[in-house]
Amino acid sequence: MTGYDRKFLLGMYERMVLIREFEDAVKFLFLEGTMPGTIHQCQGQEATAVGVCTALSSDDWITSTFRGHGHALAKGLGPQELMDELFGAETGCCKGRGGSMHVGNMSKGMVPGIAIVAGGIPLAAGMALSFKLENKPHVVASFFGDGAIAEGAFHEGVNMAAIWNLPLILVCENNLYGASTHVDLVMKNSRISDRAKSYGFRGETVDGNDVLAVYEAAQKAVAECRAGHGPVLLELLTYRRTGHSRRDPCHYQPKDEREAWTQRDPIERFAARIQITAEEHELINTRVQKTLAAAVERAKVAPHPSASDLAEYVYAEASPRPSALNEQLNPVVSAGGSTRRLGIAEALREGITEEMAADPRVFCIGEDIGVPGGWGGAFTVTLGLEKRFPERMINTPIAELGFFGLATGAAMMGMRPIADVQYGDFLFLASDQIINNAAKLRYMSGGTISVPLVMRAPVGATGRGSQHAQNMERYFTGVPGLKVVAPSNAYDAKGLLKAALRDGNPVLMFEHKLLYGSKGARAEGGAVDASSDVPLDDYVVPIGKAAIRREGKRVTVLAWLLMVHYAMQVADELDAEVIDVRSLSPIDWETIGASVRKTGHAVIVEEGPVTGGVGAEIAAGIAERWPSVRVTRVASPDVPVPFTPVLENAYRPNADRISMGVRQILEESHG
Amino acid sequence: MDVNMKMPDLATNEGVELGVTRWLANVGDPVKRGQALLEIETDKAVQEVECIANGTLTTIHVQSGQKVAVGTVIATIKVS
Ligand SMILES: Cc1ncc(C[n+]2csc(CCOP(=O)(O)OP(=O)(O)O)c2C)c(N)n1
Ligand SMILES: [Mg+2]
Repeated sequence: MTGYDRKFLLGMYERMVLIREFEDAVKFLFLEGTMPGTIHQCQGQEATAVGVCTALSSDDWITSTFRGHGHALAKGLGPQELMDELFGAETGCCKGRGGSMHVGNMSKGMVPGIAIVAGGIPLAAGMALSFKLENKPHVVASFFGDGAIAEGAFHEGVNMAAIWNLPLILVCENNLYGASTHVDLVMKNSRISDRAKSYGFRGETVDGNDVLAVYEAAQKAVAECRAGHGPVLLELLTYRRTGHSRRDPCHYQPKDEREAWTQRDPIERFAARIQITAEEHELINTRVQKTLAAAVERAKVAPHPSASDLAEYVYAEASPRPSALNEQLNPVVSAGGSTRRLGIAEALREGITEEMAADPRVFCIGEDIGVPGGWGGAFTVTLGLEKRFPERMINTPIAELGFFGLATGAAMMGMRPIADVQYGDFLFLASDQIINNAAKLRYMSGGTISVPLVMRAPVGATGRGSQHAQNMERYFTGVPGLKVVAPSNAYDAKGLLKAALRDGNPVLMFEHKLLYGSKGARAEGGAVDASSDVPLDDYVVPIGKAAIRREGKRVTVLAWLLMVHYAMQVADELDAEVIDVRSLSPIDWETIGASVRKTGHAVIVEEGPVTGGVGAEIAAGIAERWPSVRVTRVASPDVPVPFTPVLENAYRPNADRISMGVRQILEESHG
Repeated sequence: MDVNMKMPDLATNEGVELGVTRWLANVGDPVKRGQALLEIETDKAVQEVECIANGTLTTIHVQSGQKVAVGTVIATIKVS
């Protein structure tokens, strides 16, 4: 073996032995029935993890999958923190909140495993994007299986990594099977590295059971990425010598295939290649066995989280950017100071501009947002910003799943992305990254990750038929880890946007198309004036606070977005107290409670189907807390949003229907 | 030292008993961790179960044809 130091070679050998023995120990703990949960193990694939991670430095990063024990040990996590995590202990690398499928440790450069097939790829690309934007020398290696190739997340993440030359090594562990399905059944061309060329970068197939071959290929890829010539796709051919998960007897792996791969076992091959001596082997083996025996003994008695800590680590508490801003709960105009009249689109644009100027970590990412002569997004909010911030207006391909993943990855690395969709309806495509990654990473990592990600989405029925019209609030309000706001005027829009950027958690802001006040070609028919006197001074509108738009005595009308404006049209004649809920998650029960206890009647107005809406949640919340209050809802019927104006108008609650709903509840309780 | 090997939790459904169909080693045989030690029948399939330790198989507690609950001791291995 020329060119390599003996110590280096033995180090790689020991890592592989440690992984194999760790996995076997865990397997037998399962067979014994001592370990909870399920496991996905990597016996036979040790060379891919060790070869790649040896080529990385300690401040480089990896993302992993449900099959991540080997990646973790190769990246430098200790067997103890890993074993503890598998036992669900507080001392585990994710404090027992992650478990086998989500092992990781941010202080060691490993994001908790992403167990959604291919879900880690856009995330890794976003981490790489942050390194590029911040001129950091790090690279990211993203591990995934052959099964990931068929997912849209692979295509979207890889394409963006390619167009922006991101420092990302795409490490495909091709072990011939996705669960029980052979690659030949799901790919016409099963040479996975060929894919790279079609995206315009370099791919290579490597013997993944030859740790030196993997190491050398990874080293080359790292050098290319550091030099700005990423990404690189490495297809590592390997084989899983154990079941897909713990109960899988592998009956789909033909015996001769298994035997052929047994002959190519990465550890035995390397031992032969470096001509390991009996003494060296003995020394390493004894050390590994001792370490693991101790780890198992300690993990079995490691302390578990207490049940009272169940809700810990859902949200980040500390504000990531200390600020001495005016906080105003319910202003019409700011106290003192001068103001101007702005529409929502203008106010948002101003807020984004100020934040980008103040904080180099803030950037925008979305479709059609940074093209000179373009639109400034679908509703002109980012119009012209590319002139001032050419590097920080990231104009994406049409790939919502991908770029929400990139935004999440960048946020996780400390950036402050603002990601927007052109129409809220497209959030369904992005929802895996929003719900499974952005909202959960803090929890799964035992509170070590923050995702300060701001997301913006226009909603509302506006003459565009069923797929550019839905009120999406309902789908995101019940997601732990996520905050949701919905401003009805320009003052709130700017103030909530600023609060969101300083929050430290993922915040999704819904905006209504009829309220933007967009001008020119992007003006909307039926638009409602939502302009406000917006202060010149810096201010935020705190998340989690509702606003009383009109005080009244007889009934409380709860609304948000467009419905606030319609409710206000009939509030005087009904003597209604109108509450702009505005923060849909968390909900401000204090303000709502004070009002409904006073009026005894609550009418919740929602644009969107009545069944399963946010209104249902508010109604239940009121009924549970103040059972004597009468509650009803005014909402859309349970139909898709129609196109033809006559039906669309019947679909969307209006002032008359609100008035009718209020009169009905008042009559019922008095008659 | 004696290591007790238990019936592994390989059933798809909770609470079903698993049957030993065949022992692949005899009492007194030297055994190695990872070698197929017996065959069991789950509610899903017949599959092999790997030995969990290196040593000598000293006792077989559950004979082929018998069904037992997950966690029942099925064999004892004397570890050298
Ligand atoms: C989006 C998604 N679909 C399905 C699954 C269920 N599942 C878990 S692992 C797996 C197979 C993955 O195969 P591959 O990517 O080749 O990785 P390997 O298991 O071979 O390491 C499947 C289908 C999942 N976790 N995520
Ligand atoms: Mg696979």
